[in-house]
Amino acid sequence: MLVLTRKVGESIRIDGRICITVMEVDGRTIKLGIDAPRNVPIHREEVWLRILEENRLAAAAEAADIDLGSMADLLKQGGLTKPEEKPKTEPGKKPDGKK
Amino acid sequence: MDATLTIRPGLPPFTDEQVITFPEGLPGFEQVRRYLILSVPEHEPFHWMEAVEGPRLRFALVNPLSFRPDYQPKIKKADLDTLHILDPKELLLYVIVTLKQPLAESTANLMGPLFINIRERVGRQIIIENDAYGLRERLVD
Repeated sequence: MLVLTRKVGESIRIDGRICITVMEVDGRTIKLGIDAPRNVPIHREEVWLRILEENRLAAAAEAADIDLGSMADLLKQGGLTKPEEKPKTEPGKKPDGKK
Repeated sequence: MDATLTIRPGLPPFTDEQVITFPEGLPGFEQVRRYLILSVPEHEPFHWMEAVEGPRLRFALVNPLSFRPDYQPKIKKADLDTLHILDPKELLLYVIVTLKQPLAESTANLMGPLFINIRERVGRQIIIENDAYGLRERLVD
């Protein structure tokens, strides 16, 4: 890991287009300002890791070859009744999967 | 549009127009960018989202409004802008389901919904950074 020392108000630039500035230091808490192109996803590490782990779990669970039809039945039986729910836009990608 | 791509065993025939691209991939699967959403009437409101290339990879998706009609994740304008949504009708919203046995234990990730622009066929998994929605929410009570 590259370690750099910075003072408040100083920055580091990554890859020419991402700039991280130390805005404020208060004891053990540091406020960072990040300038990056809009399409660069920026997340708190621990939040990002939780999503990553859940994605991996979801992909692994698929290996059990679960039938989504059973899930659909389960949702119909035990799920919420949806009195006034407007049907969301259907994907409509698959001509053969059309309702 | 009529160029049928190489089909991996198990995938139905498809065209480029059906492929949804996630330019950044999904966290944990950054290298996998191209997916198909496979819909079967009996599976509604669930769908498979299956990777077009590489080793077999698929996610079970569900329309979150099917079990959580009040689901309204707040997303940053910057995130919405990257999707180039011009009209709300272009937006398709899914969440990933972590299937479990027994099935009733399955959960949906309401913290990391998938936003898809159906006009451009581009998607992103957007992380909702507040406590409004959980990572593992039961689909049935």
